[in-house]
Amino acid sequence: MLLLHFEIGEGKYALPAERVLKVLPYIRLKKIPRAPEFVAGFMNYRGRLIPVVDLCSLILERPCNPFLSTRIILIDYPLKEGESAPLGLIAECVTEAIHGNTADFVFSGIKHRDTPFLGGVALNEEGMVQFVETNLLLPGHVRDMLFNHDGIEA
Amino acid sequence: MDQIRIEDCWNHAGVWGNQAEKCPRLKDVIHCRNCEIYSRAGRRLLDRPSPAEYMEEWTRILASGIEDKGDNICSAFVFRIGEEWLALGVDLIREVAEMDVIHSLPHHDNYFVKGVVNIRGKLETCISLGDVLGIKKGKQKDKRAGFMSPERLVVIERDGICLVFPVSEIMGIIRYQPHALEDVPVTVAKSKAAYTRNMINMDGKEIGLLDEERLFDFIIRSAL
Repeated sequence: MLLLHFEIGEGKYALPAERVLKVLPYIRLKKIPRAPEFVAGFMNYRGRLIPVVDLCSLILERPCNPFLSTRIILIDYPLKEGESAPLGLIAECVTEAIHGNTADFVFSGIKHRDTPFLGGVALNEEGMVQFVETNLLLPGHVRDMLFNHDGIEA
Repeated sequence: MDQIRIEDCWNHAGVWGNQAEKCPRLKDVIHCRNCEIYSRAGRRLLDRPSPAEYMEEWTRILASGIEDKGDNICSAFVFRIGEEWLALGVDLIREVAEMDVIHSLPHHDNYFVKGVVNIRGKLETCISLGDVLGIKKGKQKDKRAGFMSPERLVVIERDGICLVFPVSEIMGIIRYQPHALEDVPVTVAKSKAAYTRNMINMDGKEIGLLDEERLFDFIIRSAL
């Protein structure tokens, strides 16, 4: 399986490449007032508004460094009933794709209530890489805020 | 601005260094550019603040729509047989192989079936598209020393039926607008005209876009 490798602070992470639509440079976003800190804002992608989440804020509670290697990973985020919508993820050091098997990622023994999306850990010569379960990335209320527009007049 | 410290071992123990003792990794990777340390150092160069205009420029680029290249652009695989440039839909092409020996089949006297060829260990039917279309090959082979012959075998597949035919040369894949297609001139030789759907004019070259359905039907009906 091909994985997109990235870093959050010192930690190395990976998410399945099949979920990735595009990797984009880190661009200026429109802040969403009163949204949680890790919701970085909206980006205008080819005339379409796409919500963007800062993974550093989500995991480390500090925004990503504005480096050249910091990029927006556009993923296909699954919603209910087989629907999906594009979601941007800001991560650091998005410079590499790696090969790995699902079996390589073993359960770390730690499950944190606030980070259910952090999956198994794979050990390789460079250190440890943790799997990111993109489906579990957003807490329910944030997912509803960003994607559930049922009954709301535009 | 933070300075990134990079250990440039390639300038000392690597291929660009003049240190007597060479890096032991070179035995496996042969050149520093194949080495993980070298590529990791390269990627680390991106771990620095982006220039001020970079973010603004990309914000602008991504906000603008994608340049409209026109609707339903088609692509075609272009090759040459003898003097004629011809094209087939790319979805038909399975692969292009090096020219190989064509083993003739005994008791097969069809005028365009040339025999069988070995494609990745499998024997496939080899036909002469030139003979089907009535194109004279022109036997003069370009055999200058040091030049590889541009002849290739093209493997096509449709509805699970695989056919191979030799071509004199391959141009590659071209993209064209459907409205850029021209009608086949009435002066074109009969057998060729029957299997040519349209003409594409590309840099002054007239390319005959073949009608794959009729072509396949004819070949299957009369040979397989």
